[in-house]
Parts: sequence; C-alpha cells; structure tokens
Amino acid sequence: MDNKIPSIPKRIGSVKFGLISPREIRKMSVTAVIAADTYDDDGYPIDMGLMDLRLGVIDPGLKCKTCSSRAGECPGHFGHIELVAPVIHVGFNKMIRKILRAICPKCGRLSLEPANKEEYLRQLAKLKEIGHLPDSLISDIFKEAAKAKTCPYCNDADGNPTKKTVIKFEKPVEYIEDGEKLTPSEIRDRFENIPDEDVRVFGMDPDNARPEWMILTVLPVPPVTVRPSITLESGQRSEDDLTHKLVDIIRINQRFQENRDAGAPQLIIEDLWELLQYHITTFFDNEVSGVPPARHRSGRPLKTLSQRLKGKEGRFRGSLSGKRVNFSARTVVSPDPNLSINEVGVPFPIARQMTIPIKVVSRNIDLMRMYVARGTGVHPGANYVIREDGRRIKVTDVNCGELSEKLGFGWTVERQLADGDIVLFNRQPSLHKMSIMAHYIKVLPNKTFRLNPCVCPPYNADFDGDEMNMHVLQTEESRAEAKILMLVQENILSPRFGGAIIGGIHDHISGLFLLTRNENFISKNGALELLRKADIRKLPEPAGRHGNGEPYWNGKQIFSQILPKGLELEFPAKVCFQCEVCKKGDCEYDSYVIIKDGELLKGTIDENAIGAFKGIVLDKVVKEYGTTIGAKFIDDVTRLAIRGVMRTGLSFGIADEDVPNEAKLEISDAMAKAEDEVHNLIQAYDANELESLPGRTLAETIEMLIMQKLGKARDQAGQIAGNHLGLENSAVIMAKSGARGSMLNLTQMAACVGQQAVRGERIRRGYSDRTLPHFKKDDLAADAHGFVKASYKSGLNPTEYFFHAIGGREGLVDTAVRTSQSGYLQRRLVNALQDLEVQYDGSVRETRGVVVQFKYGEDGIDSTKSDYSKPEAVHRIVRSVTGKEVD
Amino acid sequence: MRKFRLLDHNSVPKHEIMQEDEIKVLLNTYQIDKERLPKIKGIKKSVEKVGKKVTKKVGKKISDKGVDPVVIELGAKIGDVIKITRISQTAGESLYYRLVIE
Repeated sequence: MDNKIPSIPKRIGSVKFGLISPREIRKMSVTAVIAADTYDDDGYPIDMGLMDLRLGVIDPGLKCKTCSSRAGECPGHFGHIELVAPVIHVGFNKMIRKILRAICPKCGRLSLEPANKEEYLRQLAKLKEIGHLPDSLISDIFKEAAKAKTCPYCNDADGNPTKKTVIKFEKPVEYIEDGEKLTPSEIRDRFENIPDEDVRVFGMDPDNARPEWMILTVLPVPPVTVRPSITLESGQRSEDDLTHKLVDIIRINQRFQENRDAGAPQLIIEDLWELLQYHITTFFDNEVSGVPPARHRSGRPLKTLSQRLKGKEGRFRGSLSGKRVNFSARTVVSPDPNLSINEVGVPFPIARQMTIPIKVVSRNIDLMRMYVARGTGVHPGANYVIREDGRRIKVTDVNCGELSEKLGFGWTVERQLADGDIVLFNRQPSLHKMSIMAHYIKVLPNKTFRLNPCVCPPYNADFDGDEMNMHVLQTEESRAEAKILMLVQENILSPRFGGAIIGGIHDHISGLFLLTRNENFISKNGALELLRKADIRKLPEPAGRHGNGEPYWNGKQIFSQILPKGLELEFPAKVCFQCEVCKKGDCEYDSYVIIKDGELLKGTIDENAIGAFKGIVLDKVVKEYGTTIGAKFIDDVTRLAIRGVMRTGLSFGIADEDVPNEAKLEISDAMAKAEDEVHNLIQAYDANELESLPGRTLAETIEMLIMQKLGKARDQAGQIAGNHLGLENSAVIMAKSGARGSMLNLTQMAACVGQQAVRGERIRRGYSDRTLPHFKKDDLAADAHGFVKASYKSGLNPTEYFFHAIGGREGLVDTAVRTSQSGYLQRRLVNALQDLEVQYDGSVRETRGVVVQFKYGEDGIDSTKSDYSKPEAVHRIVRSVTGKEVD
Repeated sequence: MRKFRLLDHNSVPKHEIMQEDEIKVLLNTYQIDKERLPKIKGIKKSVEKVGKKVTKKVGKKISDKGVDPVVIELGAKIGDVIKITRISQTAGESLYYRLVIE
C-alpha cells in the first residue's frame, strides 16, 4: 500500500486493433532470446536466456535491467526469438485459407474485376459509416473471389491467363495445392505479393495488418512477469508452463539452424520444420483439433496462451468479469418463521467478523468510542480503526482503551454488524433479480443463516443443506439503494407475471386451511395463543357462546384480524369443484372466498389466497396497501399459520395410505375391466378389424387406444381411493389445499402407479419383439409394456419394478440435460440483452441509442404496478365512493 | 404470377410507407434521427436505377439477397420509413417503425 505506482489519469480516445508486424516485435523487444535455459548453476538468470534480467524481475531484491525498478513495480518487457523459418500462426488459419483461395498464386492479386473491387470498397465504406459489422459482406467477397478459375490480371508462360487451382486445407496447419504441400515460406511469399489496394478490398487495413504478418518469422517472448516461476518448499524452482514451451521452441529452433547450416537432407529439414510448427502451435493453443496436446512431464497437458484466456476460469470470465469479493459470508440456511421476511438471522461468529465503516463525526463520536472501547470480543464492537492519514490499526484487547481515547473526527471505525444493518443476501444460481435481495440483520446464536420460509420461492431455496451468501454494504449510498430497490418487501411482486412470488408455502397453506375451514370452536385462550405474535390489541365479538356461557370464536374471525381494514375481495378458492353454475357465497363446499371490509365472511383460505405464485389476497394487499403493509401481512400469515397448523396437528404416515378392503376390490375390478378392454382391443387388432385413426398407422392407433384406456383406468383407481380416504385424510388436505403434493401422487401411493413411459410411449425396448423374456413375443398386453398395476404401498412385482426403473431413469436424465441446456440458454440471452435499457419515454434502446422497442413490452406497463391490465381497481374505487356499480 | 398479395396474408402485419410529415412527428416524439430507428433491408440504389428488366437478368443475385419481401411488395425506397401495425398480446395493437436501408 505504501509504494503505489504513481498513476497518471488518462482518457482513452480510441482503441485500434491490428496484426503485429515482425518489425514491431523486434522494436519492442529488449533482447533476443537465444539460450534455451533459465538459470545457471548459481541460480542466477542466464544472459539472453528465458529469465534474462532485461525481461523483467520477479524475485525480490533484484533490479530490472531495462527499467531499473524492483519486482512488483517492473511491468515486464518483451523479448523475441528469431525463427529460422517462417511458421503459421494457428489462430489465423481460417483467414489464411480464405486469402490463399482468393488470390492469384503468381501475381498475388485478388481475383476480382476492377469494377467489382470498387463496388465492394464502396459498400465497405458504407457499412463502416452506418456502424454495422462488415463480416457477412467480407465473406461474400472471399466467396466471389474464390470462384474465379483464372487470374484476371496476369498470364502464365504460354500467354494464357494464370490458372488457379483449388487449395485444400488439412488440419491442423497444412495447405495442399495440386497434391503439393505449400510451405509457410511459399504462403508468405504469395501474401507479400498482394498489393495494398487489394488488401483493403477484403476488409483489412494494410497499414495495421498485412496478410503476411499472419505467418510468423519472429516470435515475441512474453515478459517474465507473465510467466513467473515458483520456488517450491524444497528450494527447487518450478517454471511456468509458458516457459517450458518457450524452452522447447528455442531448442528446436537451434537444432533447425544447425542442421540447415550443416546442409542436412531435405527430409530432416522438413521434419524439424514441422516440429517447430508444432511447438509454436501449442504455444498459442494447446487444444487445437488434430494436434496432440503438449504435455508436462507428469502427463498433464500444458496451459498455454489461449487456455489462459478461454472458458469459465479463463482471464475474461474468471478474472475480469467475475472476481472474489471481500465483506461476504457463506453458510447453511435454516428456517425461522418468527423472523420477518425482511430479516435474515446472522450467526454470532459472522456478525463479529464482518464490519461496516463509519466516519467519526461530532454526532457519533461517543458511540464510536464505545464500540472501540469494547474491542473485538464483546458483540457490537469494532475490529479496525482507520486514522486520518489512512493508516489501518487492528483493534485488540490490549490497545482498545488507548485507541478509544485517541479517536478523533475524520477517523473511520470499522464497526461490527448489529441488528438493523442492511445486507445483500443471495443464493446461486442467480437467475432473476429476486436471487439477490436486501435484508435487515438479526444477530442470532448458532451457526446458520436463518430466513423466513416465505422467501424460499424467489431464492428457490430449501433447507436440505443449501448454502447462501451474504454481502455487507460498505457505503451509505449503496445502503440507501439496497433499501429502496432491493429490500425483500419491494420484491414481493414478480415482474414476470405481476403476482406475488413471496408468500405462504407448505405448512402456511395447510395451517390456514385447517383454521378457516368449517366451524372451529376456538376458546379465548386458543384465540390469544393463535394471535399472540400478530400485534392484535382486541379480540372481535365472539361468534357465539357454549352452553356454559363460555365464548368461542371461529377460524375465519381469527384470520380476519390480520387482514387490513377495508379490503374487499371475492374469488373461488383452490378447492373449488368448478361446478357448472357457481353458487358463489352459497357454495356448499365453502370454496368461494368473500372478504368484506377486511373480514373473511365466506370461504376457505388456501393456495389461491396466500400461496406464493398464486396468492390473490397477497397480491391485492400489496398492490392496494403498499409493500410495508404487504410485508407485515406476510409476516402475520406465517406466524398465524404455523400456530394454526400446530393447533390441529398435521401428520402423514404409511397408515394414511390405507384404503378399506372394499375399495381395494373396487380398484382391482376396475383394473380387471381395463385389462379386458385392452385384451379386446388387441384381439380386434390381430383380427384386422380395427379402424385406424386419421393420420396414424394401425400400430400407432392401437398404442394410443391402449394408453388411453390404461390412463383412464388409473384415474378411476385414484378416484376410488380418493373417495374412500375422505377429506379428513392429511394427504388429501394437503393436495386439495395446494400445500404439497397432488391427487396424482396420492393415487400412485394408494391405488395404482400407472403406465411407465419412455419418450411419451409405452416401453418397447429390450429383447427382440418383447421387453423381457417373461413375455411372449409381440405381446401387446398392458403388463408387457410397462403398466404398473400395483400401488407404491402394496409394492411392485419384479417386472413392474424394472419398468418403473426405466421410466424413472428417463426422468433423471431429462432433468440433468434440461438444467445444463437452460443454463446455457440463459447465458446467451443475458449476453444479448444486458445493455438494453428502458428510457424515461418508455422506449427500449441499446447503447448506441437505437430503438429496440418503441414501448416497453409493447404496452409500456410495469406488470407489478398493474392490476393484470383489468379495470377492477377503478371499479372498486367507484363502488366504494359512490356505492354504485360501474357497467 | 403470385396468387395473393403478401400483405393479405394473415400472419403478415400491416405495413405502410410513412409520409415525410409523419416521419417528422415520429422522430420528434422520440428525439432521434432516422439512423436510430430499427432497420429493414431494401433494394440497393445502384440496382434500382438500372430498372426492373436488368435487375432480373444480372442483378438478381445481388439485389434480392436478404431484401425483405414486404419492401419489394410495397415498393419502398432506401430512406423510407415503414410503419408496422402489429397485433400485440399485451397492448392489442402496437406500432413499430423501420428505416429502409441498403
């Protein structure tokens, strides 16, 4: 920190890209590198070796011979290797191929008529003016030029126009013309012949990028600072992969030189040339297809230049756009329904580690003194103080008293986290904006982050071992921004569908369902117990009195206590049977919810009322009363619901799947009937009496019909089981109220698992013409193709079990494939859309200011602020003010 | 001979060439110049001059490549702005504008 490199602020006017020329490489080089070695026996860098002191220094104590600064300050300097023969740069293979095909082998001119060239130049200029990429036009130009069979400009020895032969490219770096291999020297010679005007036609700027520069004659040697060596514990030096590769290159280069000077046979020269090409190829990219990767002595492939840049852990994605951060914490999460949705429980040890910097001013100096005086041991204490001169001092038990006294204005105290501080909370994968939200801290004992279970859906978290990250905000501005934009309560409504994404889950739904269903007789004690945490001052008038004069309340009244006053709402509940004519308030199943002036008059509260994703009551409360009251409502719901579910109790065991004997008989009857029907179908099919459905073959038809029959049979079995289990069964309660599970799950447990499918069809794979040797060949019957008659409770027979495993495997593979695919899709979408911005005039524009949408979403509506684009809210206001309905 | 007009097709939204004064109002409401509008590919100017017959014989390959069929149907020129009235899921009907470019 003390010896910072003095930085001069500069504005970047423009950035120019081009190819680096051999001249430029030599110009920037501080030394030619000749020795294929690093250090001599004394451990001193060899002169003109790969660790030459002019290339920069990494060992402390040494001085750079070029800039005479020490390790850390010296940025490093390039050297160079003079290659004995030219070598192709792998990265430009595509371009080299295109150019080779487009030019005349003799005169090097682009094989296009002069008029065409002019036209293309004009179009290129036009594209540049508009600011569009010229890629597609340039590929057209190359295609057009490659089509020419002869050169329009020069003649061969016989006086005919020069013929062009097709040049074949062979991986990795071979160009073959007429069966003869082109050497890099020949290619370079041809490129040198291309006149500057022609270079411009295929979109290159000859001042900054001559085509022959794509063939290397001199190789830049990266500075030592780019490839630092590590000293192992044993005192041995271990060199960077790049250094290893450079050693190889120099060695081969030398051998090549010696052999050529000695006049070695052509065969050997060619072999060495190829070897040099290989080493330089792998120096740039060690994952070129067709080239065996260069390996370390241990057998590990070397990490060369492009491996450093590419991929998730490469320089761009790993080091530049993604970095590790300070002021963050990570641990397992667990639930705590007594916390507000806006809060997060932070374990003590974390709160003591993490700090918030506070500037000492006259208003807070006493408080800050107190924090510092406490030291690090006692909870809200201070870990560091920063003096006016920027010096950081660690607060210890020894110096805390002294520091506290010395504390003055302009100092900064790094105070430990305390209740009420705002932090960011995140769970990966961060797929939408609700994956990172701001929470207020509640410091709690033990070692997990605690959160209200209602915020699980936006994070997609559960408590089977999930870990989450916390980031402590360090500036006043960031805290303000987090509070206004990112606080959980500001994100209750999801912009995806305009409804609540934070709301009751599992027990909250079954709890309120049990509470508000039927006439519950709740004593005064019971009522107070339920509403204990809800900040209710007065109980309403009792619903009635028992014989002995004791008052009682019902569940609907209790729930009404946490509803905001004035709320008016009517909607069908989840349990609605969808009768043909809805009787609304008179529904015999109590499944039409009516709320008047904040009082639940009719209906049962379930998923449609307070569930995450669906909750209509939630949605209305947040939209009409604001986020603060919305958040309070959700807090009250969680607390009331948890007490509600504990009042009745809700458990589920194996005995809850028991169906009476008569039901079992009914089910097996239904199954037998279905099997008979399938049998009849098969007979009709075998006798060729079956009519095929339009657009299907006979075989497809029978498959479809059988699937239909068996599907119906399973549903029927489920119905029978459901009827016999009754509405008091806890699984039925959970399924009907939407808390967890479905009637299908229940059917599979209690009645019949049903058809197992692979790719939406009955299982057909296995042996020839049959799935298993237990069946006859070409047997179309239900059990031979994966229909599982049994229930999970009764147990599957061996063949059923096998088919079930086949179907289950497909499900697993599907999810694995889907997550990876959707992750990549998301990445591409984000990359494409990240710079679009909604402007104040409602239009969506990209960075150049080009309009993408003239109105955001075509209607310019923020879905979280709109009432599903329906005029209900206006109608309600008119109704409440004038007392009249709006037509 | 084509049997029906492209624009009569059910899935093709309504396209119109805008008048100069309309364009002025549009550019003014968004405070932009023409270049900031979304683009649509039109027929090249150089080919247009030669006339239709020559276009078909020589320039067909260059001229029609990537040109939006609707532009040909409307006969829009480079620099025209086309107003597109789309049926929108969210707004019922939404307007979109495209500048014809080469």
